[in-house]
Amino acid sequence: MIETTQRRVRQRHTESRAEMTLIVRTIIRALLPVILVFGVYLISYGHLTPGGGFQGGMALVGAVMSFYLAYGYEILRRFPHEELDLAEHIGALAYLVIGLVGLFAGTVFLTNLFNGGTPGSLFSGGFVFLLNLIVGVKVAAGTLLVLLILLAALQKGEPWKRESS
Amino acid sequence: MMRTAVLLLTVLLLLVALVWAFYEAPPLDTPLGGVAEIYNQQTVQEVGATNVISAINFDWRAYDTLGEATILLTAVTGVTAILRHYLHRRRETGVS
Repeated sequence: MIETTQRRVRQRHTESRAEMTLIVRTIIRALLPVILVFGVYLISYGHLTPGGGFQGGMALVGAVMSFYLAYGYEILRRFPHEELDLAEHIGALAYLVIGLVGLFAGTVFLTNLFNGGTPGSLFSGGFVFLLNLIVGVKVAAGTLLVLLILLAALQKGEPWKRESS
Repeated sequence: MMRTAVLLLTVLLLLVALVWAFYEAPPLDTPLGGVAEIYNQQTVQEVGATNVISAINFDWRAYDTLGEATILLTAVTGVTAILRHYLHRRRETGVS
């Protein structure tokens, strides 16, 4: 009993220092939808306007990381490591599968099929659009997973345990 | 003192190199030539994407991007393998 109380006090001490003031927390909470929409826009319009999968994925990671900076480590406990790992690997596989589609269609590896559509509309560019989406998901999941594991290793106390309350 | 001198010398050399590179660069209205000309003229017709950089990344040189994605995958796998082992060991021994 005494041990759990001591542990909780120590945990709260390490994490209260990471939490920012009310102003920062409110601004980050208000900006979160804007950053998320901007990241998704960068990914999905990567073949039309400046941006792309890598940049959009990093914007999505930046949204989560700004939330961590404002709220402390506690906010990161709800992100599942296994699903992010799975998304990363599925993204890498999907890139290869899309490359193989060109091979099965009778041309070379990673050929851009279906590159019709009027230039400038969202559904144009063929595989450029699809590969942007895949790389965006992959970069977001992979980088977020790396940062989550690094931050878990840096935490004092017991970062793997969820708060019961 | 020594470090400051080395730092200043490096910055000075880089500055000279930068100015020299800009001085020696061809003027902006010279024709591109080579593969840059093909990218510039044929991307919109051939690929259908108006962002030429994205078209180069994911169509003309998609094979390079596959390598980039593999680098990221390898980095994530390495960090996961090493630090998950560390976290597991810390959980078992209870030493932080």
